[in-house]
Amino acid sequence: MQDSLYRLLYVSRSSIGGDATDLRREVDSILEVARRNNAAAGITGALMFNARFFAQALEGSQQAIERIFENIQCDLRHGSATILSFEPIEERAFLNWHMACVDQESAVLRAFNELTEGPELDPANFDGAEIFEMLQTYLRESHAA
Amino acid sequence: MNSSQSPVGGEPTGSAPSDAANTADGMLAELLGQARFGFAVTDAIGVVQMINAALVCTAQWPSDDAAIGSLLGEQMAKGFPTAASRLQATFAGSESRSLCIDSPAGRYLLHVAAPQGGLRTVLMCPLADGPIEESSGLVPVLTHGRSNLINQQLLDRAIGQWSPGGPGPRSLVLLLVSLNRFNGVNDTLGYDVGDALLDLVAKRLQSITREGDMIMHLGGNEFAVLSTTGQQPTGALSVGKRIADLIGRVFLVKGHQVHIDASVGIAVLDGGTGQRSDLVRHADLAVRSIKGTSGGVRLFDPKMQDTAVRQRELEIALRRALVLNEFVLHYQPQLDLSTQQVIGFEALIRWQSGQHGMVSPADFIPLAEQLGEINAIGEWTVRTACAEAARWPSHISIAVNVSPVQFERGDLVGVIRSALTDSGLPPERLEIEITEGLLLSDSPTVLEQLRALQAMGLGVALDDFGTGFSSLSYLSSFPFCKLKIDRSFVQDESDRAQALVRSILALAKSLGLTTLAEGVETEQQHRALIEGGCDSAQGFLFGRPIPVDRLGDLIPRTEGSPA
Ligand SMILES: Cc1cc2nc3c(=O)[nH]c(=O)nc-3n(C[C@H](O)[C@H](O)[C@H](O)COP(=O)(O)O)c2cc1C
Repeated sequence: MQDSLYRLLYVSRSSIGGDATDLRREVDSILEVARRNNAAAGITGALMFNARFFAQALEGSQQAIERIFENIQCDLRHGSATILSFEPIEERAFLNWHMACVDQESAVLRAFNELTEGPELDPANFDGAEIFEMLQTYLRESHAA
Repeated sequence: MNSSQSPVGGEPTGSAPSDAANTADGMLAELLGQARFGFAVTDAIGVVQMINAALVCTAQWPSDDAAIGSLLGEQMAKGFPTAASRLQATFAGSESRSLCIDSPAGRYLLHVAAPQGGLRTVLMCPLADGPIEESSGLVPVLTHGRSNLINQQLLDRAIGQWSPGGPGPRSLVLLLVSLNRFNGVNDTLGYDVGDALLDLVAKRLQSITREGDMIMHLGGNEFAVLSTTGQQPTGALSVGKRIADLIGRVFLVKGHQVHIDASVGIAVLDGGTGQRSDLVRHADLAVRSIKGTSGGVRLFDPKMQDTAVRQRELEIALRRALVLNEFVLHYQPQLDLSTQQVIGFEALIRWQSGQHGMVSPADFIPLAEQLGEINAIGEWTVRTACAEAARWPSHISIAVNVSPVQFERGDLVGVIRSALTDSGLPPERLEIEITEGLLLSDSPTVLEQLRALQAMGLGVALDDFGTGFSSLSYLSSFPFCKLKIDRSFVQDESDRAQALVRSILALAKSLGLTTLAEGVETEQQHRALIEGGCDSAQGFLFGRPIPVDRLGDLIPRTEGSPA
């Protein structure tokens, strides 16, 4: 019996200080661990980040997502995570990606930067559908390229 | 895997009598029988003297009877072949040890305590996946359910046995972690979500603490972390802050998003706490000193003890205050702003404590609410105020404050009805004042009681209007006759505040509600209220709250009182 599929979308605040290189280095190490763990847990997804925020989609069984998300919540490299949605889905949107990551030079990332501008931004104000759309757009375009 | 009803095997001759559950031994046996962790007592060479159901099951004995008198190490080696030699060595040796052992059923932590030459206690609990260091020092113990008692004893013992061995300055730190809003999770999402949440909390605690730290679930919403680090108290405070941060992060449990918070109280041995026997009490005082439900971290400070002692004394004094006749009512005049005549009084309670002197209602009312004394005090207030007001001229009314707690518990409507009957005061002359907090509870019984009071003919005034949520929906859905405009608006002479007062007055007028302004202190405020069309007012400008024997100056007595 196949467990039904779920997708979790959340946004969090980065606590990784330093410059762009430090950030890149930390994110690379997150991705390395994430891809290994996610592959083992049947999780697919995508991550988008800038100096202040992370936005991530995780797809898989409810149980697997909850387990991985719990690890992520114990990670002090970010905080104030807000869940934008956690819902059953028909099929995976990030098939083949144990954790895709939006390129820092892409148009989608510029859009993400714009969305996250402003001093008093509360992660709870993000729109899950919009974040999901951005992640999907990125994957479509980077595949086409 | 817990075969529930089998008792802890003890006397080989038979199980304990059933009424033994009432005794401490019986309770312990029952708790152990239901515990999820394995527990046994063996003699010095590992022969089982008593054992609980969970361990009988894990060690794969067919029954407790089969277990009693057998060698624990030998039996366990069968189920845990990869750990066989370590198990044999542990039970053959004479030292306390902690082992991490694996079987196809999972990974377990086994702790064998071997005090010199005597009986040994064996504790075994399932561990989450992932590596764990074996140690002979403190061990993490993660359990819940009804094992609180045992964990508290283990905590006491661990504190008692700790020794500052090892390199560098080391100190013993106890962090008590109290979860806020946890009961709400049990109530709304059920116990299996609550239990799963406790497991996650324990794991988060484990992710922060260091190897060798001990984490215990003390029951309900409380965890203890016993830590042995250097650099106190800064080290402990930063661990505490990390705990509060991590526990405050949203959890995903069985499909639910769950938000809780942690209050963390910290006591450091030789850093404010001199004796290890005081650690638990001090950490507890620290955690209790954190008010509110959004968590926080606090280090024990000797002042907390003084506050706690005073609080205890105040509690005791408050419980006796009624009997000792220490309460009095003071009455503050309320004026009709069109005639400038006194039309009523608000009854305000004062506590003249023999031991503590004058205690402010702001201090003792919340305490009385917490202790459940508020019902008796509230009843005394209504009865006294009605009896007093019955002697006043018939155009003078009396307003009495009622606490939300009186609506929750006790028979408020009955008490008021009987106070009116006994005093002979016509119901129209009694007004009760309630605060918005009451309406927030959204309870149908509150509305029912308000309607019953209204049907009796007395008035209901909404106190402190404008300071809380001031939702306009209350005004349409609850039966008030009067709005009391809070002093903070009346006394604020800024244009904005004045505009606000005028709009509240206009709103009240259009809803047919009477208005009363509180805290009027200056002529200017007085004039502004008259211009705005406010019906009535009270405040120092017209008179302070005064004891009953000085009321004669403000109202002519009708009967029975000397001029
Ligand atoms: C923003 C962010 C996203 C992460 N995403 C994942 C993920 O998708 N999968 C994962 O296993 N770990 C992820 N991590 C890392 C985890 O927090 C944690 O470090 C990791 O699960 C630990 O794995 P390990 O026990 O195998 O070392 C993420 C961390 C951050 C800060």
